[in-house]
Amino acid sequence: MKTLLFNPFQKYSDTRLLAVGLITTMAGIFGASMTHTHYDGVLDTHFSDNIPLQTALLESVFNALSLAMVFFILGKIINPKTRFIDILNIALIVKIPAYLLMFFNINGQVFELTRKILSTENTAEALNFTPVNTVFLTVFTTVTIFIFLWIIVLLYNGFKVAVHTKNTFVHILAFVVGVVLAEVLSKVLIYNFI
Amino acid sequence: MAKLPIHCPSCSEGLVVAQMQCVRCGTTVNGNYSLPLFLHLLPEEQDFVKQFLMNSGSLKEMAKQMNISYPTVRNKLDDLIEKIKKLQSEDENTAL
Repeated sequence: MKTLLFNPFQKYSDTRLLAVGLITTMAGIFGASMTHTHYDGVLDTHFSDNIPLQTALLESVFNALSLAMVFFILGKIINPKTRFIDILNIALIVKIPAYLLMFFNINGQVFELTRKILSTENTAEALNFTPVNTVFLTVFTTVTIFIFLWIIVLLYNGFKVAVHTKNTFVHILAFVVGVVLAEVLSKVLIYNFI
Repeated sequence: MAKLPIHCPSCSEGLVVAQMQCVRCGTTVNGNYSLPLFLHLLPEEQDFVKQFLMNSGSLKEMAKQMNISYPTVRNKLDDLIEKIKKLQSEDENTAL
């Protein structure tokens, strides 16, 4: 179970990972459009009042491409035996935890609450949150932090298996730089082409 | 048969062969012979080499049999190659 959740790249075949990655990505695109969830960056999740299917599709494509391209180039530099399919599988599989966040915005609840926070004076009285709202936001924040850490662990383990990195300073630095570059590239692509 | 020890249980230094015996007539030969390179590998590493040969070097087949992914098998192989290279250079240095 631990391997399945945190390092599926170590155990499961490339074709199986690719199939699961493509199916969940397609489901994620439809889900993002239906729940108005923006995946506007490799590590980003934001909520909106409306997201056309085309936007959700392009965001997903740009995220996967950005991560795959940056990790593949870095992977080839570190280990010339790095295969594109292993890197592409990382880009697709790491999004699965992020897709879970869309369930919080099924009724536009997170978007409404954040809009309320941003549009009122930032005091408890002005916000007028009910206890249910407070509990909901606390749960949402906790789950979001956990999912963010889960994604980082998946990314690190995936990169380690695909590129055969060791836990050395240079390899860890390459991973961190790769994630930052992929995030920047995805943002640039999304804001320029959508 | 008992597992062949390759390291000294007292100081962990690598062991060498000091005596061999004919199982039929009991003749013994004494000397100072180094262990073959592959006997320096751990049992699971020796098993990996055996699997590699049995699968004609197909890492994909090995991945299926071992129920792990292709890059994991390739990484294990790369680690093993590194280890063998290191053992080889140690052997050559000792010979000099």
